[in-house]
Amino acid sequence: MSRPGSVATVDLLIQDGTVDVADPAGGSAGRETKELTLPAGANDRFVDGPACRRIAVVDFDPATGLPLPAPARFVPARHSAVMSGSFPLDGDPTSPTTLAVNAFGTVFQTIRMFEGASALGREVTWAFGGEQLLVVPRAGEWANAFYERETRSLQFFWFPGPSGATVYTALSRDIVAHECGHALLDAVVPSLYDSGTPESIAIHEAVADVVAVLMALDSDALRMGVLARSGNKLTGANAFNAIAEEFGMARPGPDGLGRRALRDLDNTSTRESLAAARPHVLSTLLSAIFYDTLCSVFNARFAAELNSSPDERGGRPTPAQAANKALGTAHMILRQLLLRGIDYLPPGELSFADVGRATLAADRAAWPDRDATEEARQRRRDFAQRFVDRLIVERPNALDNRRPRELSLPPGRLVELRDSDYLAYEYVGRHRRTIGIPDGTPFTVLPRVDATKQVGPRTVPPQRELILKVAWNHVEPARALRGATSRVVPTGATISFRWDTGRCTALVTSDITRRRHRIARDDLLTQLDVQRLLQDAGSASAAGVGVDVSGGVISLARSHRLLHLEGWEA
Amino acid sequence: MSDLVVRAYNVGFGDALLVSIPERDGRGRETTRHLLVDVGNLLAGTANSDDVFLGVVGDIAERTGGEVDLYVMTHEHLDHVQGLLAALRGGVRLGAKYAWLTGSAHPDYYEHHPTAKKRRLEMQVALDDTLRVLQAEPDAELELMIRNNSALLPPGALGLSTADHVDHLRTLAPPSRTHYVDRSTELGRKHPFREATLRILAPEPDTSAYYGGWSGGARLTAQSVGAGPARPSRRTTTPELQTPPAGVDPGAYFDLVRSRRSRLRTRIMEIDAASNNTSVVLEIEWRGWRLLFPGDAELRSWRTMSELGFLRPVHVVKVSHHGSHNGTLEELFDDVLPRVSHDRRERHALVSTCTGSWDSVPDDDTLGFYRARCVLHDTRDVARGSAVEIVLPG
Repeated sequence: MSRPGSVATVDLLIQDGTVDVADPAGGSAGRETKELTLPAGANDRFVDGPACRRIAVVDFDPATGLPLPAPARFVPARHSAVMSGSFPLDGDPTSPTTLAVNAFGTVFQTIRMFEGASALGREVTWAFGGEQLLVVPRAGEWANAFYERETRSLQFFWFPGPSGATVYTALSRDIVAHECGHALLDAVVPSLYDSGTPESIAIHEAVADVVAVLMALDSDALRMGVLARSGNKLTGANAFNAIAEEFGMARPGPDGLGRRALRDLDNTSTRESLAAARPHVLSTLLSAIFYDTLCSVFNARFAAELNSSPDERGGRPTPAQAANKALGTAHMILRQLLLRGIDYLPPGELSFADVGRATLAADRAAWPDRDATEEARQRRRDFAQRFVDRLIVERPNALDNRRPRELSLPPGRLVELRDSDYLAYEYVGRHRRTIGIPDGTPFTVLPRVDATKQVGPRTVPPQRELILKVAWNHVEPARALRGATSRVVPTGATISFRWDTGRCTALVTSDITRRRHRIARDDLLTQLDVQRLLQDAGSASAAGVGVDVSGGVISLARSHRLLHLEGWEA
Repeated sequence: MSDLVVRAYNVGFGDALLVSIPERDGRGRETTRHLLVDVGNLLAGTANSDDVFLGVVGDIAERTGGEVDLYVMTHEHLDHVQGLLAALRGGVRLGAKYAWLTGSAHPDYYEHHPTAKKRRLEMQVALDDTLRVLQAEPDAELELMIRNNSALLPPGALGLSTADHVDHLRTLAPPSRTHYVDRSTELGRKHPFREATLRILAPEPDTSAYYGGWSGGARLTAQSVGAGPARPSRRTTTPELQTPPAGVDPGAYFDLVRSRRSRLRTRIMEIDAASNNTSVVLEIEWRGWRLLFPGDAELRSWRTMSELGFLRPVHVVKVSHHGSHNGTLEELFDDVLPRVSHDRRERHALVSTCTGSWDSVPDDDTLGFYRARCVLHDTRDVARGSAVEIVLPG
């Protein structure tokens, strides 16, 4: 029997430092008590900081910019055999302790949600290679927050709000979850960090926003508060589709107008209407599709709950109960759709359509259409149609994926495929045409992923699967720049297998070599060059976007940084 | 027939360049006119001090009769501006018939250039932020970088008043003959030269063009904490934080701390580069010789000059930015010093620099480019206070 994991009790803000759905007038911030639980059997504990094996807070002095001792103390509970306890707050809503505990606790919960059985079903390996993600709740003065792979950190800044009161981004659940979402996505699809199109960069932002939505939905108090205020509806402005309300209200948008939040996922944008948008705004096109999916699942479930048969005592749920239960289910389905879909994203540059394709592939891998309920099949049709309605693809079947029978293996071979690089390369080499690797093009097989995922309600047994990803470079002509006339575009494919049968459940390849993708890459490079934001990719201290030119071939690096560079951060 | 003489004084890390140009009047009589480009040094390290200027400025005053014909202040960096006031304080006075100061030094410049003003304010905040960090934890290299840009600091910060030195240069020549110049300035009647032709290739009238890569953004310290930037030093961290707090991965911690410090340096480098790029780049033509004095122009300024088609082969070039790698743009090198002299005349480069002030300056590879094309004269080859000379026969 494995040793139970340590538990740390923390009080976390439900929304922002000043915004609380239960108190629309502002002025008080709602909190809820959460138990942070380390995995059973893990050789890990909570210590001052807060810190544990995979997350640690590092605080800096706002007066000098220099590092400070741990701002929060871990107080062990009496007689706790596994060193459980709490990180008590000090009563000051903006003290270093409060900021540290809030940021740490929210990051901890976001990781737990992301890696949970109904999402990835495994612990991720950070893209930066180390074991510990640093959390900096007082990184400095700036209206910004970011994940930075190079420093293995999430950095949260503060800035003066319109009333003069300081806005601390470390106090925003949305912002903390969002930045943590970047770190987690980087762990799963590290190649997105060096994307070459605004759309590919925007995927990071969209996923991070939906992670923030998922974390908002994780709060019972917030769920009930939103439903109570909206009359059990998810349409219209609410705390789920408004990302970072306090931040957004404190800072006008790029057009100079006031706004209710940093980003709004309740929108009707299309690819055409956002054709010239920068990654942050462009991302709302994709994140809105996931939000729309949440709403439609909620609506269907809410109606079903209201019309459900009476229980054994003849009682029916009240509308509020039905809505809360429906939202809980919609939350679970959205979490499974998004996070399992991420696991199926091919390496390299990606388009929004690729995200849709991977999402549906992962969903069908768990439940093929023939085994799925009509509700699930309808959900898939609706999901694909949203990509059509928003002019991302022309037809719903553009998001279909293949499951070539010849890629299947006897179940006993999956262990070898997982553990042996030699066999993995041999397998991919043998199937390179089926996978779509051009003849003569070298490829790289990434470490295989063995994950066990909850694919439905807890009454359904979890499924174990093996995911294999292979990466290669596509070289295309490029608009002449810095002596280069061609460009490297990383691309790839994902193949998934059911562990129990060895059957190939999905082959997902990306679609990023069309003319419009090439033009988008040309335009982004030109734009960055004109703005003089390109720096030598080999420069270790470079704060901008990296560019490498070698043998007349140009490639981009660290484009993820555009998301927090001056002028590009909104 | 007299010779044109370029004298580059060894003043430590800084510039002091006297160009003595013989000119014939309408009746064939020859008069030597003197053009002085910058006098200053970094006032940092053992190799830099005010003392050197007593001798250097004294020598210049003796050669020019106490008044140069034209003084050019290329840009507002300490190592280019501080020498004349320092000499005056030591009792050695030098005046000028005409004075040119870079356009952005005009007292009203930023009122008429709002974008540049916005960037300048951001840079002042960034410098102030860096100064706060510096006061809590000394960092010699960072301090050196700040000192050089102290024109952006309030008077007295770090014990410097760069603005006083610039103000002194405003008074070298009569107000009617003191001009703030950029590449669009009409130069007629703004200098006394008759035979030599002067051309200004840079800076751009709107210097915000030089801030393209400004990363701006984060400040590590709170602007609302404390009063004013130049607060007394105080160390608030505990000595134990030389090591990470318990529970924090040491590698990750040290990478993070170093990255924050590196970000400060990057910002100061950007500020430094933007100011360097405001350098007046002066081309002189005289009796078939062409001389180029680019101040500390960096890559962005060189690119702009190239895009405007301003760069031409020269016979004498001052190596920009004291031989730093970022003062010479390799891809444009052929425009200024083609592999073979365009008219077979001899060619010279001179570098005014000092070893030990900056780790990477001068850059040996950069100086190697010049050595491969022409005779390189180096102020380090002569004693402190003395000058290397380039003589061009008339």
